[in-house]
Amino acid sequence: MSDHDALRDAAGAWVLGALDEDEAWRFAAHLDVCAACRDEVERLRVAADVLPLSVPPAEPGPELKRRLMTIVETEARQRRRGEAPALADRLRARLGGLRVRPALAAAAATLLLLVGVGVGLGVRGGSRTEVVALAVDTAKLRGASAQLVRTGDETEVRVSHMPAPLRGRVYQVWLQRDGHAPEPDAVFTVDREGRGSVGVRGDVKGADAVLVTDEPAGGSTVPTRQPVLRGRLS
Amino acid sequence: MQLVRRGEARAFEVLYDRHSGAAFSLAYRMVGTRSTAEEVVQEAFLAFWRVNARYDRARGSVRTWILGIVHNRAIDALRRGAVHDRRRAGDEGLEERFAAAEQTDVEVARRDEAREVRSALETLPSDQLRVIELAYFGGFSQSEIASMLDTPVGTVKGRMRLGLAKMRSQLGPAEAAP
Repeated sequence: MSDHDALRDAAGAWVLGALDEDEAWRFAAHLDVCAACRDEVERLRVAADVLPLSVPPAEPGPELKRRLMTIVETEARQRRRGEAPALADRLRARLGGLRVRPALAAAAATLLLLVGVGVGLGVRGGSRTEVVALAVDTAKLRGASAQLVRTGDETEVRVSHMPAPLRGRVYQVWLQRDGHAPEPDAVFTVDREGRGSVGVRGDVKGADAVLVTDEPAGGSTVPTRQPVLRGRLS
Repeated sequence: MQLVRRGEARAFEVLYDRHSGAAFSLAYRMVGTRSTAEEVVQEAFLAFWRVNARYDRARGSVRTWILGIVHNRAIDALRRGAVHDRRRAGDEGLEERFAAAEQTDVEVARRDEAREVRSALETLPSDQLRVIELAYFGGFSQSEIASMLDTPVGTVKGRMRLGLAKMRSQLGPAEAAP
């Protein structure tokens, strides 16, 4: 039986987000090379995307809108003034009464699996550019590579040969400062060739490491998975 | 959308008014309690507000994007065990769910769409419908469903694929770009 025959039936579970993790990674890799399965996924996705419309209608209470608009208006004012909302405020606002999920307590152990770190320097447009090769979790991202590119005040994560995140998921950048929980930063995905890049929004000065994890669409407030990329900044 | 991306609170409010009903309906269907559903919707809309710069039109409509975030947050809530009194939203409590719904044009259109999708679902054999509902609304993986139904994983996968394919064939072209 070919890979295609063995994996074709997974298309339905894939668009429903029901594949177990190992098979999901295998199917993602198969999609990169199988146009027939990509077409099948697109066809089935149309059906999966309208499933939310089948539920009985319900309306949230007006208090939810008031609560949300208070947060949004506060953050809009801060954005206009060029301030970033305090991390603690963002976490409180975002989580409400929900329990915080475990942070990266075991991150260090996972990093034993990570390989490939290096640093390069260059000059571009009069600004010094520093390139740090990020360590890659080769168990999850076979063949992938990633760099942290710092030019002046701008820092960017660039990746290549990365598998696309699973349906409904994204890659998310985190800034780690020793003794603190990782700070949530930008989210990104990759194109069909596995290339992607994203600017780091937070202040990398004083940060000890940059991490990238696989998170639900929209990103998370605290990492829910072990990092797949990691780079030391100091 | 551009205005939301630029951090305009009023533009966010318009999007909230347009999509919060569908978002809450989905969350409520999945987690089964109003308070947890509201927490899920709050998390989802704040995530959308904070990272919408990454919204990619090629990957679907704003509604699909927001409902995707709600879906993932609801699954997170289910897996966190935050829903202690979880129940399936059946016919009970229907009055409560309808209570605040207004018969606006948007609402009427939404109900027409819902009717069409429900009609497509009703054409599915019950074993296909069951695995699709357990996966999408219950957030269960194929192996969890296989164990729950005492059915081989391969059979569960096959039912998911066949069910979605049949449903797709029932839907008109309008649903192709929700």
